[in-house]
Amino acid sequence: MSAVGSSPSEPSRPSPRPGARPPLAWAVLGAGGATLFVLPLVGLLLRTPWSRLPDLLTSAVVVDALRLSVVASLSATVLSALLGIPLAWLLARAEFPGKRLLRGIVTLPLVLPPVVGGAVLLFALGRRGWVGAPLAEATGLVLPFSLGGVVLATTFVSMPFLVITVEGALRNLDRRYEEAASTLGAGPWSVIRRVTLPMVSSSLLSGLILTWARAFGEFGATVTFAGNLQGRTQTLPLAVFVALESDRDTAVAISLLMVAIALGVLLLLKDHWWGTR
Amino acid sequence: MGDPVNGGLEAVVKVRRPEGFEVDVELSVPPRRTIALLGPNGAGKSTVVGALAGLVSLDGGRISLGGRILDDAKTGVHLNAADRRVGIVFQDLLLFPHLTVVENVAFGLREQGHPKGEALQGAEEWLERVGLGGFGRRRPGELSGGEAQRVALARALAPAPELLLLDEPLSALDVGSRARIRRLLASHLSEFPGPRILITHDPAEAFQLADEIHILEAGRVTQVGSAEDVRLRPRTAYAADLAGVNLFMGTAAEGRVETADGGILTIADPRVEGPVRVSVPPESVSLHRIAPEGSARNRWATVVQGVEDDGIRARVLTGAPLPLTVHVTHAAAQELELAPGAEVWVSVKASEMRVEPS
Repeated sequence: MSAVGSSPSEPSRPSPRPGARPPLAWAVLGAGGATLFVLPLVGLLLRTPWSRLPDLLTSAVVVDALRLSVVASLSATVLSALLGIPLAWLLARAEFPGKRLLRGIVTLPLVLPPVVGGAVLLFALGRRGWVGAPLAEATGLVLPFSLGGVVLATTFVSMPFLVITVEGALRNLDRRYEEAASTLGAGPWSVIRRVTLPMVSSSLLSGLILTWARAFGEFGATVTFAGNLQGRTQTLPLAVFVALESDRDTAVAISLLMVAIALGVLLLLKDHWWGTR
Repeated sequence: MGDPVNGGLEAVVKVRRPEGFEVDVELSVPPRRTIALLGPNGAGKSTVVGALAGLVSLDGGRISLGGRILDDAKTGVHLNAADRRVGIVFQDLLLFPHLTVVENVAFGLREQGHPKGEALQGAEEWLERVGLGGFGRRRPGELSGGEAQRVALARALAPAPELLLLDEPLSALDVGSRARIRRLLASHLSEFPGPRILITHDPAEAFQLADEIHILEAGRVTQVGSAEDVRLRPRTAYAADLAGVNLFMGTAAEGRVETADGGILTIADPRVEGPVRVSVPPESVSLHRIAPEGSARNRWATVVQGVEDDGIRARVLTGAPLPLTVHVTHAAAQELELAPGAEVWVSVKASEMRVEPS
């Protein structure tokens, strides 16, 4: 049986259909792209000191960094949801002056080097920053070089993923469903809770996964704003960076750990993310 | 469930449309009465629905329901959609796709503060009333058009609204199930104790479901009356077209009417004077190949403009001086060799024309 490619008019469904046979050059390019991602991973596995792995992974540096990474990435995701979903709603629905500019500013961290993001945060919220100084004076709260600083820097770079995903979904949502809900007695808060958010739930989930993934891998803004203190602000990416200079085996072990966690989460949630089998 | 409904709807709706015309409609609907708002697309029907539902704000006028003021442009009163108790069956139904059928129907009850179990039970009862017991756990996407329509009706009725709006309720259905659902709708409408408004562009729907028909054109009500009135005495070209009647505006004098386009019609009653509307039922018109003899006092030669022949009956459009729609049998159309461009004689019996002062 020969595959003659798939008919474009036929919707993709899990039927036993022979796979498309691509043009050769096309396949070679695609395989090249795949190699770029697979090769380093193979290199990592070959380089892994398997026998020492348990010891390396239970060292204080790694355990501290793992704990901080998990806490910081989840906190940043929760904080992004709490602030980012209402922000996305405002950008999609409300009319106010400067909205376009605000949307640009919100998405800035997507293109800005994270180090610049961290520096900007430091200028504003650092111990001598124009917000940080009065804040420290009034409450004693000093964000830089603290776990709070890690969460803030991480949220700064990862929340835009949630905002743009959810805003797009809200724009595409047929608002008449919300009107229908209001004629059934639902007030504005009830409409958001019972209709708006459930109807964009798949985008919401994608946005949250992207946000978490970005937060988990965050390096530049964190190291600039929160520093690199083991047990306080040193997350896994920072620990890898330090270990590369001093202890290669630890660096490899942490890299493997991060690959395992990230790949595990992405595979677990891929049905929701890509809608694939 | 809910308060007894004992008040009617009194509404003066004035809304300026971005297209440049103003919707200006006055409605008075007592309880247990169904009126149809019948009009072509773009006449402002949806605007009226939106205003009554509280989704569109008024530029002028006042809406009260059962003595409660929902809107008053003068005093600035505007009750939110959520607080109006207006049940709506939307044109595209708008069943919530993320909820099951029974959760859809329970939505309004939950908003009224009923506990979840109680709301779901009330919703199940409503589903049984519309003949969909056992459908509760399905998703809206798994329903046929007719089933979805009934779910939408149950959802609108479950929270015991005081006004029921049906916005083109049958337009989403295929022609086959339309008649059946229309009958079902008629029986549920008769059980609803408040005022009911049916928005439609389908005269069959309006004639069958409504006690009174309001014809809406370009934002204004051009005729109010029973189905009988609209059918026999249409007041505008649109209404005449709906009723399948030929309508001419003209001036009567000495037993003759000169129409706006310069045609002359002889009428039965010579005493009628002044501006009149003349309606000519298609059945009262005869077509002939040669000049007819006999008692018909209106006859003229013309050219056939178009023929729609379904094999049983043919609808023929004739040309100047007085363009008419004429119904003849398929056999007659064959015999007369009716086709666009064919020359025919038209005769109309004056006694079958309806002449009314306008």
